[in-house]
Amino acid sequence: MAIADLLPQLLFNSVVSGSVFALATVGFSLTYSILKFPNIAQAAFITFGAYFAYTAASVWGLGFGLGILGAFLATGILGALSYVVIFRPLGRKVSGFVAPTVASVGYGLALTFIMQQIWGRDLLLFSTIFDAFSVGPMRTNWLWNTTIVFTVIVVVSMHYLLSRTKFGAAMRGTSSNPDLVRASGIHVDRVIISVWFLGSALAGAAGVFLAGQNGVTPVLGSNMLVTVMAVAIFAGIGSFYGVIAAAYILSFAQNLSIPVLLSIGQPSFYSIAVAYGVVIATLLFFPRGISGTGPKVESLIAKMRKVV
Amino acid sequence: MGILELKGVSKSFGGLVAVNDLAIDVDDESMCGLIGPNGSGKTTLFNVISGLHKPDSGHVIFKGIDITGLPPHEIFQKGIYRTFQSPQIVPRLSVLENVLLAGRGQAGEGLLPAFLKRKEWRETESRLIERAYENLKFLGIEKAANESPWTLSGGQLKLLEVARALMSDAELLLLDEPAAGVNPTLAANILDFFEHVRKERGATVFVIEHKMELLLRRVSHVFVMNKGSLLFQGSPKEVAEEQSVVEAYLGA
Amino acid sequence: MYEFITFLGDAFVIILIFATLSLSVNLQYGSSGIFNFGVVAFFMIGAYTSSFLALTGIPFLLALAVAVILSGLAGLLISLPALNLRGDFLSLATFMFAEIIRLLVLNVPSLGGAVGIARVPSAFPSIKVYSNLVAANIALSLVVFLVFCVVYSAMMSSPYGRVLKCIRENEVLAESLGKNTFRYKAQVFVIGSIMAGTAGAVYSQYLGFAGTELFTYSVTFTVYIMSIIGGSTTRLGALLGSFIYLSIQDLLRIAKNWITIPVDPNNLAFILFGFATMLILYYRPEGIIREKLRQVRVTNGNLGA
Repeated sequence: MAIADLLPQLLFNSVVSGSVFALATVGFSLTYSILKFPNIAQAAFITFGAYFAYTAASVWGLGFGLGILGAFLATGILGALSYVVIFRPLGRKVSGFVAPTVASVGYGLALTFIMQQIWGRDLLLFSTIFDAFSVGPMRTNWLWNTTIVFTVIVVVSMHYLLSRTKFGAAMRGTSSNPDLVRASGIHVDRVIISVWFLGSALAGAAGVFLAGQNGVTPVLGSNMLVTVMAVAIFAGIGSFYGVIAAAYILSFAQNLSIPVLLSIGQPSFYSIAVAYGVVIATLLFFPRGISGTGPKVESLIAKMRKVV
Repeated sequence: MGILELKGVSKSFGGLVAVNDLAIDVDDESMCGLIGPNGSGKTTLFNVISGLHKPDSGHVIFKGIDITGLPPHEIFQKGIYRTFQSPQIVPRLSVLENVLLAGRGQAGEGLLPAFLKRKEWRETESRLIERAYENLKFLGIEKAANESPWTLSGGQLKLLEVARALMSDAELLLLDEPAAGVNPTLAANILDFFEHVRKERGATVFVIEHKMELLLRRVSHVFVMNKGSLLFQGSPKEVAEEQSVVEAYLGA
Repeated sequence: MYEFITFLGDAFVIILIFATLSLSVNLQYGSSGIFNFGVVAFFMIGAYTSSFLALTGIPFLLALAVAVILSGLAGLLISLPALNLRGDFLSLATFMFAEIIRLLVLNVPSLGGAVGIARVPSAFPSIKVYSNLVAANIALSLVVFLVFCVVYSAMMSSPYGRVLKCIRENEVLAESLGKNTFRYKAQVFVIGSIMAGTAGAVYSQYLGFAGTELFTYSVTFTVYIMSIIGGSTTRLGALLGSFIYLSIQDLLRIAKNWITIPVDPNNLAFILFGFATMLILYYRPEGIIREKLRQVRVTNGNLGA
């Protein structure tokens, strides 16, 4: 098959997987930006969303649509509670990023095995079957279409929230200038809780879309963790738009490099190397990411600011 | 040409000009003051001299050597010791060890010597410990030698800084408000201690200080900064009577 | 009874290997503040290097030496760009590096690929009886751990260690006091990588196998949990953390046969560790066994310690 034949399908696939990347990473990037640490438990949130949707849709028989909604809400609540019960008190007691990072490792571990305890280790498939159908030159199914539509709705809503509402402005301001946000009369803590809710809810949704066709296991989210980090780094920590752009760019780069690699006789798994190569390049040459909101390279200068 | 010379030093952050084409000459073994309203760039200037910032232009010359842009650790090794506005401590080392860090010539601070030259560094260590303890005693805080710096009061932490300065054998001391936030008696004592260092060790002391009264009696020369530039310089008396200085402070 | 003793012995080998890994974390993170989140990469480099060499007939000690050198070199190469990054970014960068290297090996068949390297020769090819082999490996892993304990102690109890602690808590101060903090951090990073690489070499010859599924980022997480629980600043803490983690895991696995609990013991172990980590970070961040402030003997004058 010529590349041209594959191209539309590859492009479409890229959009679908890019959407999932984006949903999974937004929360990670935003909480990182506000609380200054990478939340490793994000992986567990993704898995939780998938399991919750499975239970709602296939065990309780509420159907896939309600499954998505339920996962969104339930994971959001889980995320908000995680902040209130674990990360907020820890942040008040200990300064620095190490404690919350390692705590998130432990928390993710506990969550994952609690889920394994509840749902077992075996693959659980949704009872909904997503039949493939053709749209023009491409094959798709309702799961993928829903993924894309959902993501579009999220992006549009977030754009409106961030640029047109006071709350959205507070969200943007909280990571760089919490005092200013406080001064404008908004409870910074409420903003943080909302960010955790939203970010985790989106991660839960990502989990549902990930598992919809191939099922859910306890390691669903863990397999995504590296991708989430890669997208977040490439995007530049803290920028919503950066995450969206980065997610799709990486997804396209990964998918489109497959035919390129095949045509020059290299194995297709190197496509992952493309994504990782991008991340290494980011860390080495422009750690602020494509949005330019990440941290500066000069660690000593940044620390010095606190002292001077 | 004095021990420290600044020529055309400028430093900006983004659009903000913190230091603007500054030229200064500090005499050997003198005690000089650096004053100016908040935000005039005094601490930034110290940061440039001590290597925490690279200047955008200009030169910093120490004992005739151009040290512009060198990293802070090299600048310390050349003989400049700098304190910070808030006292810097290492919480999980004892007070004595906090002072020991400033000691020179401890070969055991290198990786290989730590393993291979044990006898040598143990001897150096004993000597340094004696010195450090004497320094703490001189400042009256030797009782806390084995405790964490957490147990020291704010004023005592300032004294710890003095102990470190003594330990460092530096030829040029850059002191960023060494007596800030302490009662007047202690403040006077602290500056007297540094004066002692100057006399006994032949060091040069360059002090940022807000309380003019503390400086007037002790320094021979005062530099006044305002909005990043050198506004005026002269003897303490001249500075106190200079109209533009008074206005700068009033306007700030 | 015989089986029980060899079972215990086997457990000890793994505990000691992971104690060495925890020690590597203690050196880098606990004592110097370097949050190397890619420790498993060097574990893997050591394992694969010595495995490949041993398969070509090279005796273990020589293979180990090369593994040590290669892990150290890898540590040096990574440290140079990575240590310029802010602390949390250092953790992401090292995390990514470990994943990249794992994926590289996973996808390149000549490096073992998905199958891994099988029939890795033991360090004691002449020992055929299993219980003797376990005993020999206990000796080997113990020697490795103790050697690195000596290294750790020599570093930390010297003025060098004092500088490391200063860098850990106040890097700007360390720089201002004449310490080339980058050089210190790079040195610690390299030595930590060597520790991890050596542990890897011992591990793969003991298992007789090396495969990428043994070197996922979960291993890094596990080692950090061990370090945090046992004590991130001490040698004994490294050993204790490894011991607590692995023995509870083993005990709960065995307990399945003897008592019925509503929760699957496998899951319970990790749930417990997860909560223990969070609790320790909140209530006793330095872990169970903490470092002590160095005391100088003082009478009326002063007596050096």
